[in-house]
Amino acid sequence: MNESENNDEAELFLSLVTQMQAKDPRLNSMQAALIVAAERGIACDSRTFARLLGVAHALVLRELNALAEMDGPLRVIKKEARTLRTHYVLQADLP
Amino acid sequence: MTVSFIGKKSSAAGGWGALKSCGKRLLESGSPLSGARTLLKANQPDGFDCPGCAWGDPEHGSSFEFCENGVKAVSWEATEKRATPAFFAANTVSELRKLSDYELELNGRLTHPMRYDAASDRYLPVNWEDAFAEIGSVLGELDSPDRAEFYTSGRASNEAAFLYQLFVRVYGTNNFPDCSNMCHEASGVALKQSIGVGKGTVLLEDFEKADAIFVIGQNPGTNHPRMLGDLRRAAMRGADVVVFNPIREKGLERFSDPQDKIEMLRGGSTDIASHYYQPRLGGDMAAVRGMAKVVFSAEDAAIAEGEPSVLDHDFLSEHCAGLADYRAAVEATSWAAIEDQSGLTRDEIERAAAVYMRADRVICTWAMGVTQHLHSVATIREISNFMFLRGNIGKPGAGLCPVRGHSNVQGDRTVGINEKPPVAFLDALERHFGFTVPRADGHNVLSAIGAMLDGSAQAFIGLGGNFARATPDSALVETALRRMKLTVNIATKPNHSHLMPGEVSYILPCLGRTEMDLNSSGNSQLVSVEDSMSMVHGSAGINRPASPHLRSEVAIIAGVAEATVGSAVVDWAVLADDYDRIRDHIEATISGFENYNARLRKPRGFHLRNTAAHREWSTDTGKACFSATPLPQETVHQRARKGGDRFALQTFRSHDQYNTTVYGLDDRYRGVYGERQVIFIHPEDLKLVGAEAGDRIDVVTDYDDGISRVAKDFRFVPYDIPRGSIAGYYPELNVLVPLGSAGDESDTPTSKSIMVSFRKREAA
Repeated sequence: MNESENNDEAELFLSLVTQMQAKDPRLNSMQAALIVAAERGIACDSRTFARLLGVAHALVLRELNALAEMDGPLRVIKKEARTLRTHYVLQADLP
Repeated sequence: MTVSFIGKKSSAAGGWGALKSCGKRLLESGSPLSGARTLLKANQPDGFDCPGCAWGDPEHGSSFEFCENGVKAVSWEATEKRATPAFFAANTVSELRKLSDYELELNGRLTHPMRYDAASDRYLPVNWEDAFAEIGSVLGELDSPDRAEFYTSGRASNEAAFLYQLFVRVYGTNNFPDCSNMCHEASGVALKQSIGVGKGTVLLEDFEKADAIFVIGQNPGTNHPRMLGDLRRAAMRGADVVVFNPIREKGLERFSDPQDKIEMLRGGSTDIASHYYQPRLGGDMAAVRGMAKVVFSAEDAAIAEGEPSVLDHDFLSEHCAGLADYRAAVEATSWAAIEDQSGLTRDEIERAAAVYMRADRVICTWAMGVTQHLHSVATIREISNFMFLRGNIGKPGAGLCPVRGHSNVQGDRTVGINEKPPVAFLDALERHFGFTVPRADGHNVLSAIGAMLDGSAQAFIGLGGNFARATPDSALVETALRRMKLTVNIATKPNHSHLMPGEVSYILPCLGRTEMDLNSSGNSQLVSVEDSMSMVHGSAGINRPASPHLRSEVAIIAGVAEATVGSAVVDWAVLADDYDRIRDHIEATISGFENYNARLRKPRGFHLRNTAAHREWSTDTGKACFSATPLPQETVHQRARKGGDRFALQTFRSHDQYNTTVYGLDDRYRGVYGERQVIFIHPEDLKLVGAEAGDRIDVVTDYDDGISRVAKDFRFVPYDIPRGSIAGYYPELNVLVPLGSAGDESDTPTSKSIMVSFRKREAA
C-alpha cells in the first residue's frame, strides 16, 4: 500500500468516526473510533485497537470504561487480569 | 454526508493497516459538532500513576502493566467484590475484628459512607451531607484544634494532600502524623543536614550512566520491582551492583525481566548483584565507615607513590565542609569495631570499597533496612560522607537515592504535610490565603499516638492508610483509637483501623487511583504525584468507579472542610470541582511549581529542581556537610548476642503484600506459602534454641518499660540470615515494636532492630 493509499484509508476511517459522532453526540472521537473499529472488524480488543491506532493502551481502557458507563453500543465481555487487555463486542451482535 | 469506501484494502488488521496516524488526530480533535462534550483532552495523561511504589517511570501510563506489584495493586483496587451496607449489617465490628487484614480486605471495595452505631456494634449507611455535618460539628466543639490528629497515607495525591493541609491549618493546627514518619523520615532529616535538601539527587536516567550502584538495606524485588529492570540493565552493560542486605533476597541475585520477551522465552535470567554482602542488622553504618577507611588508606598510598589521588579533591575543597573531622573519626574507628558491628570481614569491606574506587560514577540507594534503626540518621549521614569522598553528587550517573515505598509519600511532604513546616511555606500560605496560620510544631506519628493515649488528643482523621496496623505497638494504638471522640477513615476498603471506632466514627469511601474522577461538568479530573526522583507527573483514572456513591479524596476533604471551617477563607467546593485551581494555589505558595498545570500535561510531567543535584548547598555552611559521628556504642544485634537466647528482629514485607495491604499468603521469593505468621532464622540458631523447622513459638519483646509484648504462634523457617538476626512480616509483628523505641532525630519506630526472645507457644 503506498503512502497515498495509506492516507486515503486514514481519512476514510476518520470520516467514519465523524459520522458516528454525528449519530450519537455523546461520543468523543476516541469512543466513536472504538465503535467504528468494532463495526468494521478492525479491532475487538483494547490492545489491538491501541496498537493499530498508535494510542496508549490506558487511554483506550479509559474510553471503553466510559462507553460502558453510558450504556453505549459496545459491551465488554472479557478482561485479562495481567495485561488488562479488554475484549468487547457490539451490543447488536450479542444474542 | 455518507462517505463510501474507495481504494484498496491492505492485508493487515482485517484490511485496515494504515491507521497509526489516526491516533494522534483522534486525541487532538474534539467533536466536530459544536456543543458535544468530550472527555478526552489532547493533553490528558496517557494513564494513571500506579498506586504502588514511587520508583520513577520512563513511560508513564504504560509500564505499570508489566510490574508484578503494579498488577496486584491495580487488580486489588479493581476487584468486583463490594463491602456494601449489607456486609456491615451482617457483621458486627467485634466479629470483623477476628478477621485478619487479608480476610478483611477480601470483602472488597467500600460503596457507601458508613457511621458506627455503638448500640448495635455495626456500621450503618449514612448520607454524605449528614456525615460532613457531624464531623464538622465534633471538630468544631473540641476546645482546641490541637486536640485533633490528621493522618496522611502516601497514596494521597498532591491535590488531596495540599487541600488537606490547607483545611487543617485553617482549622488551626499542625498535627500531621504521616506515613513517612514511619519510613523515610531519617532520610529527610539526614539529607537536609548533609546536602541541604531532604530528597534524593538522582534521576532515572542516571541509572543508565552509573558505573556502580550500591543498594543498601533494600529489597527491590518485592518492594520496587521496576527498579530491578534498571539494575538489570546496568548489570548487563557492565556496571557493578553492590548489595548490602542481611537477607539473601532472590530478586537481587537473578532477575528475569518480563519486558524482555527473548529472555522470558528462553527461561533465562540475568545476575543482578555483582557483590552481595550480608551485614548484621544495624551494621550498615559500620560497613560504610569501613569502606571509607579503605578509601582513605588508598588515598595515602596513592599520594606516597605519586599516583593519582583517590579522593576528588576539587569537589571536596570547593563543596564540602568538615572533611578533617570526618577523617579523624574514621581513623579513630578500629577495624575490630567495624567488623564486629557490621558483621562483615575486613576483606569483604575492602572488596566493596575497591568497587567504589574504580567507579567514576556511583549511585547509592537505600530503603527501610537503613531508615528504621536507632542510628538511621547517622547511617545516612555516613552514606553521604562516603559519597562525598569521590564527588558522587551532582554529576550524571551519580548521587543519593532514598527509594520511597508509596506512590506519593514524597509529594505529600512537598505540598505541606509536615508537622514542622518550613517557615517560608507558612508565610506563603498566610500571604496568599489571608489567614493566620498556626506556627507551633505539631505532632508526628509517635507524638500523635502519645497524645491519643494520654487523652490530650480527642479526634483522629485518617486520609487513607491503615493507622492501627502500620504503627508500632499495635495493641496500644488500638486502645488509643477507641478513646477518641471522633474517628474518621477515608478509605477504599475495610481495614482494621475502621474496627477501632471512637464515640463517633465514620468510614468515608473514596475513589481509587485507577478510577475516573469526573467533576460536575463531566470532565475527567487530573491529579499529580511525585516519585522518588522528584518527577511530578499526572494521573487520571481509567476505570469506572466501584460505586456511584464514592467521592474523590479531594471532594471528601472539601466536604469536611466546608462543614468544619466554612468557606470564608477558602471556597472548598470550587477547588473540588476543578483541580487545576488547587494546582494554581500550589504554584502560588510552593517554589518549583511554576506553570504547574501546563507542565503537568507534558509527557512524563516535570522535575522539581533539586539544589544539591546542581551542587548548590542550602546548609548552614553553604556547603555539603560531613558528619563525624562515632559508630553507635552497641547495636541491638550486638546487645542481643550477649544474652544468648535473644535475637535482633527485623520486620519486612512478604512478596504478596504492599505495606499493610496483604494480597495473599504466599511469599514465593522466600519459599513460604499459605501462611504469614513465620519467623526466618539461621539453621544454626534454630538448633541453638532447641527447635526444628516448622516448630511454633511465641515471640516476646525484650524492652524495659514494663509492657508485655507478645506475638503468638509463629512458625520457624530456616533461612539464609546472619546468626543472631531473625525476620518476620509486618504488620503482624508490629505488636512487638515498642512505641518508645524510635530513631534518634527521626522518631521512626525501630522496626528493623527489635530485641526479642522466644517462649513456648501458649495453649490456645
